[in-house]
Amino acid sequence: MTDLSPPLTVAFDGPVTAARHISVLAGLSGRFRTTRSETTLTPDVLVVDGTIPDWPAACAGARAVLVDRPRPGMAELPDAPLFFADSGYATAPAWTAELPRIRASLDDTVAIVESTVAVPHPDGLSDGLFSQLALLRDLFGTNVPLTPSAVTPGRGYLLTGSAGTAVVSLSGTVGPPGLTLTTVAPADRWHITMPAPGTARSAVVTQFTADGAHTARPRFESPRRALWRTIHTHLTEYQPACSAHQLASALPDLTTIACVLATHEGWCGDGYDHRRSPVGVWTNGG
Amino acid sequence: MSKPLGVGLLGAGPVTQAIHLPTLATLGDRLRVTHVMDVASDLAATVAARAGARHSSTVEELLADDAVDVVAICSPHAFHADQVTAAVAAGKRGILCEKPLATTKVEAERIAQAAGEGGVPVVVGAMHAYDPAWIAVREEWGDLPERAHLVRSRIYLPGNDEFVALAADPAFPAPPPPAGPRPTAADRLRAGILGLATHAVPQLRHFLPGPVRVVSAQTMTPFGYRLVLTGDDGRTAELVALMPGAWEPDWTFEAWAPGARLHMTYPPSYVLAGSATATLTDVSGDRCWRFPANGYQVEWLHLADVVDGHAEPLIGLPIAIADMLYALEAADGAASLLEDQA
Ligand SMILES: NC(=O)c1ccc[n+]([C@@H]2O[C@H](COP(=O)([O-])OP(=O)(O)OC[C@H]3O[C@@H](n4cnc5c(N)ncnc54)[C@H](O)[C@@H]3O)[C@@H](O)[C@H]2O)c1
Repeated sequence: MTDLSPPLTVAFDGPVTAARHISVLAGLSGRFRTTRSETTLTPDVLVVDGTIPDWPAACAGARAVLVDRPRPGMAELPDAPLFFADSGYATAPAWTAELPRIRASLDDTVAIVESTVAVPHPDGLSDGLFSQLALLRDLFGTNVPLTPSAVTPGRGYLLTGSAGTAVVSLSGTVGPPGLTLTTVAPADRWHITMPAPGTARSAVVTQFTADGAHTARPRFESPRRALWRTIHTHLTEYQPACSAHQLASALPDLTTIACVLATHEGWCGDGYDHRRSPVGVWTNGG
Repeated sequence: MSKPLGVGLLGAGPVTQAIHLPTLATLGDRLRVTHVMDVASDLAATVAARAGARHSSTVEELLADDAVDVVAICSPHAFHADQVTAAVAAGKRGILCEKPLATTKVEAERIAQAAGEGGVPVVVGAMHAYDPAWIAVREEWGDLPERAHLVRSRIYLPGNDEFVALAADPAFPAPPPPAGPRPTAADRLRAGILGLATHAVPQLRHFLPGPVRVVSAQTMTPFGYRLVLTGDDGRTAELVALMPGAWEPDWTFEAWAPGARLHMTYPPSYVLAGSATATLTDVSGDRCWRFPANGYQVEWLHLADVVDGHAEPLIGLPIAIADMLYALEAADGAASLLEDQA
């Protein structure tokens, strides 16, 4: 039998967050036990919906808080030992496994890093951008300042920045979900394609050099499941430095998103109610 | 929307834990796990507690539970036929039986008779036959099944444990060492065909409906086979498999006809990685299909639809039995060929 410590309890602030995480947790049932009630008890992990402005009020007592779909407006965090953010694609196992090699190749010859994310509904554009910013932080170890070049209400954005020698280009659009990220230097080019973050289909990470192409071994685990494994590790094993996408390190990203939002009010505010998004068989795809 | 159907699982091993429980968790508005049974009562208790369900260690207790509308049979092969007939006799509303449905023709006939009399839908866990990309490509392939002259099934997999660990926190004891005499090469080949090649049979039968002859059979180590089947009209199928390996999985089904080719690549079992990718190539180019749901999710949703009266069975029991007998004949044919060679 798998020898695990007693399962950690997980509570949700409502049915929306529960619906987004419950099926992932069913595959980690030795590590987590979910309670469906909107609990006032003290769960090990509380999942809150970051789109609800007063979510910090719900956090008291939890050992850790996972903020799902974090939104701008969060200047500082309430008291709780650990905050995590669901940063979508950034916890994809094929990405995290290859990251050291990708980072090592980003020397002062890298010319451009560009990424496009597609989200099924306009109100997911901030989640898409949040993911891209987390990937950039993984690559450069710091927050990359970006300015909007073009933002189309309800359709998407194109942001521009620079990191060292590299031009940075991020675009987000509405379409079938997925993300690509490319880094280009004269000697090598990396191309990463990621399927929707709910699926266990692997990201494809390929390095192209003068010798040809090398594609990393696929990892059949969804980024969301990998995130939950990380949360479990943090809560059950001593971790001197947290490597997960904790919310504190992502706060500047939310400011970037807020900047884009402030200049282009409405690109994610078209009245779409994410609570109506389908739950069930299609959940794992989106 | 009607109340979710209660699901009772017979057998709480890897397939229950890593396939059915995570799959059912994605379908909570239609199906809810209410009871888990295993002859190992500790295992039943652990797995049931994780799923928030009742547990027991006998088939009778599970079948007597009114909260069980649908029974999933996930026990070892040898028990499938008896448990299907018992679930029918208990008046359950639907059955999902893991493959293979039965291991002999006599068992298959017994199931057919019981299910026919009870009018109970039985879905066999042939997930690739319910894969939405397979269902979609069939709508578009025209006369490819009549024209195809070569079919290949290729299954190169790492060990199942790798994918089980990516889909569940396994709570099962290590399997006991095999009892009795060491299985012969023919026994292993037969088991390989009934366990693995059986997944390709529902697809294969569209192209080589049978009768077929096994014209070549080999085994490979650590575990694998290569078979060549031919139909009366000279059409050929090659089925190869090898596991476990250190490389990435390759689970492919292909069919060639003059001017057309079907290519299906399936994600590994256990993980919820969406459908296969189906590519149909003909003079007009390539067309591709891929969907967010996988065959396990679709087979469960389909069973719920049939039980709730919203759909007719996509793969009726006579077809599932014919698939099973086809696999059985191929397994017997291959085993006797191997014995002759020895
Ligand atoms: N569809 C698929 O992808 C897929 C994949 C693997 C296996 N399978 C099938 O699923 C079935 C189960 O596979 P597994 O790997 O979990 O098998 P397993 O033999 O490892 O586990 C089966 C469980 O059934 C229990 N059991 C034994 N006798 C029983 C009985 N009489 N009644 C109820 N439970 C009993 C065992 O204690 C064990 O926990 C097999 O028939 C197999 O062919 C399907």
